[in-house]
Amino acid sequence: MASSDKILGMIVPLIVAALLPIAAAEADVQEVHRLESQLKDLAAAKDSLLMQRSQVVEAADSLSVRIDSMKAEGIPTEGLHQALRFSLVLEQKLVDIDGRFEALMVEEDAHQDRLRLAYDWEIGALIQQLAQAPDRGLLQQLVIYQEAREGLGDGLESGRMRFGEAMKISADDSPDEIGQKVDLMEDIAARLLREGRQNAERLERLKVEHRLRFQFSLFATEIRLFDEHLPEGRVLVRVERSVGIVDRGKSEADFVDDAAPPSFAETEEVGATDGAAGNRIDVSEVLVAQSELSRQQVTVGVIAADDLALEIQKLKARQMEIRQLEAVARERAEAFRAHLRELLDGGSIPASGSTDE
Amino acid sequence: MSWVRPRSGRLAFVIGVLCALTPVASYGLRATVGLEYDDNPFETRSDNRRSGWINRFFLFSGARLMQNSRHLIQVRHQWGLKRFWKSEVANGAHGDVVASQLELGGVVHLNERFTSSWGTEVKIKNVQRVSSEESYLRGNLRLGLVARLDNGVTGSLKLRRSGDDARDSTLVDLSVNAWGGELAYSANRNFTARLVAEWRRLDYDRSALQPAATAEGVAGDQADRSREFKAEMQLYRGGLAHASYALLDNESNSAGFGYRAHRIQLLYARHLTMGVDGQLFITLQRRRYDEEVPSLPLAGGAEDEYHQSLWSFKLSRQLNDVYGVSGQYRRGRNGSRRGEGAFHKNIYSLTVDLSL
Repeated sequence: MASSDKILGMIVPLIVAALLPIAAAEADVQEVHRLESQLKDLAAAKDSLLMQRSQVVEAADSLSVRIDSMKAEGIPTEGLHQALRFSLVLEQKLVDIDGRFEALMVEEDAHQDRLRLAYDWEIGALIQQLAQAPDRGLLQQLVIYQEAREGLGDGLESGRMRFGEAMKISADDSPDEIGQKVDLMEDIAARLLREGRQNAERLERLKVEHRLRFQFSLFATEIRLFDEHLPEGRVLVRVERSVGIVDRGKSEADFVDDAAPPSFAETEEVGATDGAAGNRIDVSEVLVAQSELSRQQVTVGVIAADDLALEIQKLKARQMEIRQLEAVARERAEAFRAHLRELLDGGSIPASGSTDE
Repeated sequence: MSWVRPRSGRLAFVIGVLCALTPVASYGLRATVGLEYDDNPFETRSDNRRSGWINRFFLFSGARLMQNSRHLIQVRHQWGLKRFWKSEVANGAHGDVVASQLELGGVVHLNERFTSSWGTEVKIKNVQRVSSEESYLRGNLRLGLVARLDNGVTGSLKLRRSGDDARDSTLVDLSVNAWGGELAYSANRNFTARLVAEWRRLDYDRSALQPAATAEGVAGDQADRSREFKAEMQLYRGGLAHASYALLDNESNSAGFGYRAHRIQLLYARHLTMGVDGQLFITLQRRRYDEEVPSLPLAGGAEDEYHQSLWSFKLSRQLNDVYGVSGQYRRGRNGSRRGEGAFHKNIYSLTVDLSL
């Protein structure tokens, strides 16, 4: 039977076991480093293949020139045949190199996908940690990961748009060109604004969903704690009930209507004597149902919202980033427009002409 | 060690968490302070019932001790208090119910296909001067294994062992061993369907009731064999909807404890307007005892049907990041259909929710 010791005996080993894999928290960071290292190896392998390819192409070009000159002489020679055979070999080499390059590209894409996922996970975890307790070291790590993530390109995420940070106005730019750059920056700002609005709508929907899920989870947790969700349990117990007082001066038949019908336990007559009157009280054991705490395992809905919290955090971070990018794009557009106005008004033009700093 | 496949692997991990751990929406510290009016707080079956006010306090805290793409460990603690303004007996002392529950659970992502889970729970419920409630100490241990099959389908196997240490004369100790499986389909976060089957052995610390005294004496302690089959569905589209149906079949070596029950749960929650959310929760159960004995004249004979219905309607509004308010109406019926074998109650409550 269950006892307090047994119950504690189930719990203590698990608490100890739960504390053991704390070190595994480092596994993900090592995985990121491993994938980065593998990507570098793949890039080096691609560069090597490109170099081989260029050498083969160079050899093929020079061979092609030689073959053309031999053909121009009009005399089929053994040298021409050898050159033609060698050209086939070079062509096969090119095909092999292209095939290996293609395989490396596919492998590189897969590694990049995995690395993007790893960065997304780490970024999300860092954002959650920063939300709970700001930390300069974590913030720096977050910036590093975000920059590295951006460097990987779009991948699984969509809508990550460069905002033309390299765009400059040079001294050679005509007013039309400057006007086009102004329009481009304003377009970028408008697109960022639209993306920001879509992001905000999605964030609002997720917040409502998170709130609804959370509220019900809390409601279910609370009524489970107090057992308010449980149905009434039932236990049958035998109790003694008096069936009547037998007056010695009367026959029992006079009390037949008062007698309790037999239970499915044997009726035991237990006599009790009322000494003063000399009467006997008959009692019998009968079964009654009493209420008992139900031992049913009743779950009250299985609603989760943990996965939403991380997505909401990521969207909030993205929203902040979009706002900053939009502000920068508008500021640039304004700066370009001011420069254009100066130019058209015949004002002085700065020597470098770049207004991006 | 191979990496998790992007979308389907993460989905399996999340479903593994859902299957393995009792999910809760968020972490941190939450508190609800409330006042409720209950027209039958002591669950009296007769018309002679005492209505009264109850103070209610509920505290929830949770945290993730560790989380990465392979491991998750979370801890949750709930503490609650109900303080009755009226005593159950005239001129008696006020009653209260205090309950505390601590849960620790974890998930380990073994590889692309398998996720294991474990969980343990301790609950203490202490009741003072309220006869309709029971005090006990409960411990619980769960182990599970989730397998990602294909196309958003996952299967899982579960083991559970729990024990109740009764702290009340009206309750007996209980030991439960359970095992079961689950098949879940989840195309995305917004739709999940589940089929669950569980077999349980319940060993009570009391003698099995015999239909008649036998020459051999009593047949030992009560041991029940219970089976539960459940189907449930959850959908989010503008609002959260959850529906489940469960069939329970209980066989017992103790007379009068065999029964078959049908249980339905429905939930709908939706944002209404102006920041106000509405939530409707209904649970209905019909339990029929199937002991083949002559009917007893007293209330609650062996052949008996128990009905439970619980309706809850709640409106809530989050005022800011910290405070929220909610009002709730709950209506319940619980007990035997015979005569005055059931109690009814209506509860009106107002609570302030705090996120700390």
